[in-house]
Amino acid sequence: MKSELNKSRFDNTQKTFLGERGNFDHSTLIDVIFTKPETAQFLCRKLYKEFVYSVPDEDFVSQMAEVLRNNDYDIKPVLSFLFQSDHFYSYEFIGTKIKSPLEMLIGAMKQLNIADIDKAYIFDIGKSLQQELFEPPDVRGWEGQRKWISSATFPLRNNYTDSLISGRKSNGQTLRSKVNALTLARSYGASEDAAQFNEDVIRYMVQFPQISSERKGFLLETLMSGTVNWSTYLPMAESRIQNYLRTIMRLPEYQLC
Amino acid sequence: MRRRDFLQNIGLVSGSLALGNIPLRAFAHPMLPSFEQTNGKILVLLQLNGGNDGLNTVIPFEDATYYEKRPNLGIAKNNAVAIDSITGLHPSLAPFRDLYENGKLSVVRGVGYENHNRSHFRSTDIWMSASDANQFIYDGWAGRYLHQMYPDFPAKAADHPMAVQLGSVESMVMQSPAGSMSVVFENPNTFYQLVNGSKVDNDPPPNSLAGEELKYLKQIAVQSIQYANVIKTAADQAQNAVTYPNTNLGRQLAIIADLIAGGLQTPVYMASIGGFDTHANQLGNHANLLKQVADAVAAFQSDIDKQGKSENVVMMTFSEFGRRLNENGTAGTDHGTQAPLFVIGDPVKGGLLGTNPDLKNLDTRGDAFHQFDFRQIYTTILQDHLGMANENAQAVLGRDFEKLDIFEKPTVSVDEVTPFALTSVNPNPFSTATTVSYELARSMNIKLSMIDMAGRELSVIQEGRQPQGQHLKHCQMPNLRSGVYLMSLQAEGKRRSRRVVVL
Repeated sequence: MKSELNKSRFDNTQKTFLGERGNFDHSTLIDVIFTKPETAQFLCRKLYKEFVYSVPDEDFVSQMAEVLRNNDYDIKPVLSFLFQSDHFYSYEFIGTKIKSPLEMLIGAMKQLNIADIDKAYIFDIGKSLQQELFEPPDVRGWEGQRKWISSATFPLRNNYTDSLISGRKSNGQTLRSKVNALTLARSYGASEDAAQFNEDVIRYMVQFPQISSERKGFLLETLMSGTVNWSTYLPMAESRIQNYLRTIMRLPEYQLC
Repeated sequence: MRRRDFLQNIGLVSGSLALGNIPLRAFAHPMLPSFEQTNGKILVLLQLNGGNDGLNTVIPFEDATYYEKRPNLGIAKNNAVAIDSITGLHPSLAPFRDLYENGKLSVVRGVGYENHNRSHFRSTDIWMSASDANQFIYDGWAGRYLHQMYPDFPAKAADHPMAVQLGSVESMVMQSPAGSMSVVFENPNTFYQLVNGSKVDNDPPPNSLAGEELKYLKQIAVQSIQYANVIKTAADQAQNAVTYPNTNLGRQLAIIADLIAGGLQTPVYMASIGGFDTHANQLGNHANLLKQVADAVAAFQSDIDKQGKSENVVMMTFSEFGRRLNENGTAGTDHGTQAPLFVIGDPVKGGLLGTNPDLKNLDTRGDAFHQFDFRQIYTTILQDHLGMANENAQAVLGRDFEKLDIFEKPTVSVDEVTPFALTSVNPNPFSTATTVSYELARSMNIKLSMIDMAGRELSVIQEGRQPQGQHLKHCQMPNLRSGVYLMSLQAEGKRRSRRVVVL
C-alpha cells in the first residue's frame, strides 16, 4: 500500500501529536507512532490473542513488546520468542481458541482430505459466518473468539461440516467433492481396531484437550452403531464412518483449537 | 455451573422441545412462566449503525445557525415535516407524522453522555453496556435486565427465548453476567432447518480456560436447539397483517411482528440498519436510510395494532452518536455527539422532550451539548414500560438516573404486583408427590393448583385464606400423565407459576 500527500488538504503548520510537536506529514506522523512504547505493546497484544489466549497476560506481552522494539519492529524475532517460550506451550491455553470461520472451513477440508476446494462455496459460507475476506465489518476488524459464535452461526458451522460429508449443500445442491470416508478411515493405522481408531481420530480432529471418557464412549458407539466386530469392510461401514465423522464435527468441542 | 443444575437444564431442554407439540392456544395463555417474569411487556431495540445525523433527523428549522453552518445539507423549512412551530422531521420521516399526531411517537432531543466518545465502536459499546465514557463494561443493559428477570438462567432456561436478535452477530447489548441472553437468526424457517436434528449433550464442561470457552459454545448450542422449534411455531401461527417495504429492515420488523402476533413470549427484540456514517454525499443517502426506517417502523406499528398487540410493545431507536453541526468538504458530516432518539408505540405519551440543540453554544470540537443522558431513557423504559422497581433499574444501570416523562401511564412495578411468591416445588421432576413452598407478604386468599400448559385447571391443591409467612404444602397427584405442567399460585387477581415435570 502506498500513501500520498494531498497538499490542498494538508495542514502545513506546527501540530501536537501524541505529545510531540512538529509539522508532521503522513510519513513523519507514523514515525511518531513508532517512538511510543504503547505501539509495541498494542501489536504484541494482538499477536498474543491470535496465538495464545484471548485474554492477554500483560506481563508476558511486555516481554514480547521489548523483543519487538529491540528488533526495530521486525515481526520474526518476536514470533520466534513467543513460539519458543514455555508460556506458549502452557497446557492451560490449549484448546482455548474458537476457530475463526476460515480456520474452521479450511481446517475441516484438510482434516477430511478434500483437496478440490469449491472456493465460491467457502467464500459464501465464510461470509455467512461473518468473515468475508478483505471486508472486515469496521476499522476495529474482526474481534474474533466468542464474537464468531451466535445461535445463527453455530448451526451454520455444523451445517457446513455436514455438507463436506454428505456432498450436498443445505439447499440440496451437489458439492464438487466430498469426503471419501473409507479411504480416509483406512489412512489411519488402526482403522480396523475401533477403540484405537476412535482415539486416533479424536486426537487428530479435536484439539480440545479434555474430552471426557463418556464422550469418547458415545463416539465409539456412534461408530460401531450396534455392530460387535468392527471392520471398515463391513457392508455398512461407509455410512457408519460418515455418521461418526459428522457427529465429531458437530461437537461444540470441535470449534476450539 | 453445578453439575446438578446442568443436568437439570438438559431435562428442561427435552421438555421445551416437547412444547412444540402442545396445542397452540397455550401460547396465547397469559400466564406462562416466561412472560410472567416481565409483565408481558415487549421492548424492540432498533439500532441505527454508523452515527445518525440528528440535526437532519429532527430539524430546528427556525435556527439561522443551522442553515448557516449547513449551506448545502440543511433541510429547508418547507420540506421538513413540521411537528411544532420550530421543529420538523426529515421529509423521509413523513410516515411518522401520523404516529406523532396519535401520540405514539415520543421524540427525545439532545440525548448523549458526558465526554462523548466519537469512535464508532467505543461509543457503540458505551450505548450497549450503558457505561460512563471512561468505564469499560463487557455486557449489555438489556442482558443485565434479562439476567434480573430470569435469575435461574442458565441453570434453568425459560420456555421461550429471553431475547431475539435479527441478524448473525450477537450484540453486546444482549450479553449478561450469565452469558449470552439472546437467540440470533435471520429467518425463523431457515433457522429451524439449520438446527433440525441437532442434539443437546449433557457433559458438564471441565473447569479450565478451555472449559470456559466450551461452556459458552454449549450454551449457544443449547439455546439454538431449544428455541428453533418454539420460534418456528410462533412464526407459523400468525401472519403479518400489512405489507412491509421490501427492505432488509422491513423484513426484520415483519419477522418480529409475526413472532409477537404468533404468541412468542420474548420481552426483548433487536433489529438494526447500517449505513448512517454519512461522511460524503449525505443528502441522498441519509434520505434513503430514513425512508427505510420510517416505512418499516410505520408498517410494524400498523401491523401489531391490527394484531391487537400494540398496547404492550415499545420501540426505541438509538445510534452511537449524532453528527457535527458543520458540514464537511465532501457533502457530508463528521462524527459528533448528542442526537435525538425516538420512543415509539401505544404506551408512550408522545410529543417532544427537551429543546432543540443550542447551536450557538458548542464544545471545542463544534458539537452541541447533550440535555439528557442516554441512560435516562433506559431507566424510564425499564421502570415505566418493563415495570422494574427503581432499585432494580439502578442495579442494571449502575446508578440512579432521573426518569423522563415518556410513558402515558407507567406499568405497575413487577415487584409491587406480587405480595406473594411461589418459592419452590421440590422434588421436581416428580412422579406422584411433591412439596410446594410459597411465601405470603400478608394474610390473603390464595388458590394453589396444578394447571396444564393450555391453562386448564387439573387439580386444586389448596384454597382459602392463609396467614402471612412461609408455607409448605405437600401434595399427592397420582393420576397425572407424565409431561410438563404448571404449578400455579393465585391471589389478589395475580398468578405466579412454576413449570413442573411429572415423570
